[in-house]
Amino acid sequence: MQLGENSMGIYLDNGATSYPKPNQVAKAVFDFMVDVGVSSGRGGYKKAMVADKIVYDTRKLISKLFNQNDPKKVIFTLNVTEAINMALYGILEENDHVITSSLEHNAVWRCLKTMERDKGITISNASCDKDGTTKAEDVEALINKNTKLIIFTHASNVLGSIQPIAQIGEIAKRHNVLFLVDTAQTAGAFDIDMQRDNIDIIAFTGHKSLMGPMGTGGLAIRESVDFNPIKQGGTGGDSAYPYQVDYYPNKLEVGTLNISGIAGLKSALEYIQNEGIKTIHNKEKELRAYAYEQLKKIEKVKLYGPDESKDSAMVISFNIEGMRCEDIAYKLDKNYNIMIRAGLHCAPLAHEVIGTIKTGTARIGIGYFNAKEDIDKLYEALVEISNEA
Amino acid sequence: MGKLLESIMLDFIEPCTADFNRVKFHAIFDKDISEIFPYLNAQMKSAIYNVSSNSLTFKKEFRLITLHPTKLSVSKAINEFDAYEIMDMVMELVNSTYDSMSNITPLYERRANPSTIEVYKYLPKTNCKSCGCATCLSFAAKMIAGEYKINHCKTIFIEGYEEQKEKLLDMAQTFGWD
Repeated sequence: MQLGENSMGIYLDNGATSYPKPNQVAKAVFDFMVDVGVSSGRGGYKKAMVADKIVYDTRKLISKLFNQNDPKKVIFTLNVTEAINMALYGILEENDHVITSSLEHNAVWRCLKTMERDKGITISNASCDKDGTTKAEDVEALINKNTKLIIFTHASNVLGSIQPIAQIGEIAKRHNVLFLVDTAQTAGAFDIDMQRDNIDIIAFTGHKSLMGPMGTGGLAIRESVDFNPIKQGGTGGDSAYPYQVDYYPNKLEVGTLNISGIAGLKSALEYIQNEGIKTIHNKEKELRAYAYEQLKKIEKVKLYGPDESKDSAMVISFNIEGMRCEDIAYKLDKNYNIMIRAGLHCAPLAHEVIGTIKTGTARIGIGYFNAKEDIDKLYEALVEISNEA
Repeated sequence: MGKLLESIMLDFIEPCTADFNRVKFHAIFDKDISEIFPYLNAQMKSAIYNVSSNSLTFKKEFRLITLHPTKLSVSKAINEFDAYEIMDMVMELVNSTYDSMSNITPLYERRANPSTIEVYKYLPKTNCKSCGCATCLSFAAKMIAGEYKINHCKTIFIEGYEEQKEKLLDMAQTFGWD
């Protein structure tokens, strides 16, 4: 397989989006747009049915990836933020209680805070330690008679710390509470199993570790779970019926799908299936551990989150004493052609945990197509930058 | 034995005649699968193996599924997604049966067409002649013979005949009168 040439330099921001994608992904998007190019749904002509089949096959691939068992309840959205909004607004009503982590991305947090203000839900955050480790029993202790939902990130996008999903799933099941996992930082690089881990809803994004195009994402919903749609519109059939239909997937999907993106996502999922999640995970894990060890050697670098001995998502947040994180990112890009992200990463709660809410952090995000040499160049660059600080 | 069917391609889909909230569709098999019908007939007790149209019809819940030698006809599917799930199911059914053929005793017993009286039971019995036949009884005979189709009867499509219409459409698909 020929990888993308990465003429952009060294890309270490895979926590934001993965780059490069496997070549076959871009080819699948191109081929769809040139050779098929039409909308799915009841088009009445062969190409519309070809488009339909692409979407159907992709639902099956997602269902298999997460061991979800009901492909018609794999719903496509623009991104994981939209997916989370759809689930939260579809599930929660006035006086419902929600339990969440202390590390949530704004995709979850802003949604919950807005619903707290406007809809009268109540929120409890399970605390975590400075590395972002949460104890499942702390989640259980927060459950009350009004608890409708537990929504947890699988891994912090700031610290990388993995949350105890399987244990929380078991707790949620025992208490008959819905359990939604935000897999933005983990889907495609971690083994996620809805049946084994008692997960009711997975929110996923297509363009990070799933290696698909931006503009793809969605929900994988357990067969027994149902909730209200927040969008109404055309579904390709039953057009005379004035309300949103109640069968899946059309209940939660309206309008034209991003089929060229889904074609790319399909190809990405096939790539991942071929490579194997274990292979992908092990490579990224090794690289992260190596990166953490290297960065630890630089005196002025302060690292956050789990160290190299722990399994975590492939991000590492750090700062350099005496420097703003934005300047670290700027210098890395300008002088060394190395791309990282800096700031609060849309996750203020996580920064409250590590005490960087006023400063933010620099963050690297390692991807499947990074190499040890990329980390070595980062190390050399940070040594020089920190000497200037 | 390997696979008999490699692909099933959706060819046509539209709202169902019997139930406008459902869909009917046709799909094309990549080869003739009729050799498998007596084996499916042996395995599926409620299937109807029809002699004149060389087809096999069975139900999946409310959906009516008919396998022809090179074509799949389904009525009362829920939506496009359901259509694809049914095609997957048929592919699996055909290929798994093909794979186990040596362990199945084929059943060549075929269900005969319903009698003229059995079909007449569901017609309007108004003898309105809108189909071109003198009586509903003669229309029934001609439909069984394949000379007339159900939509030649204008009266059955009028409001009030939904149950009879649905039954006749099912029979037409099962026995190959459509």
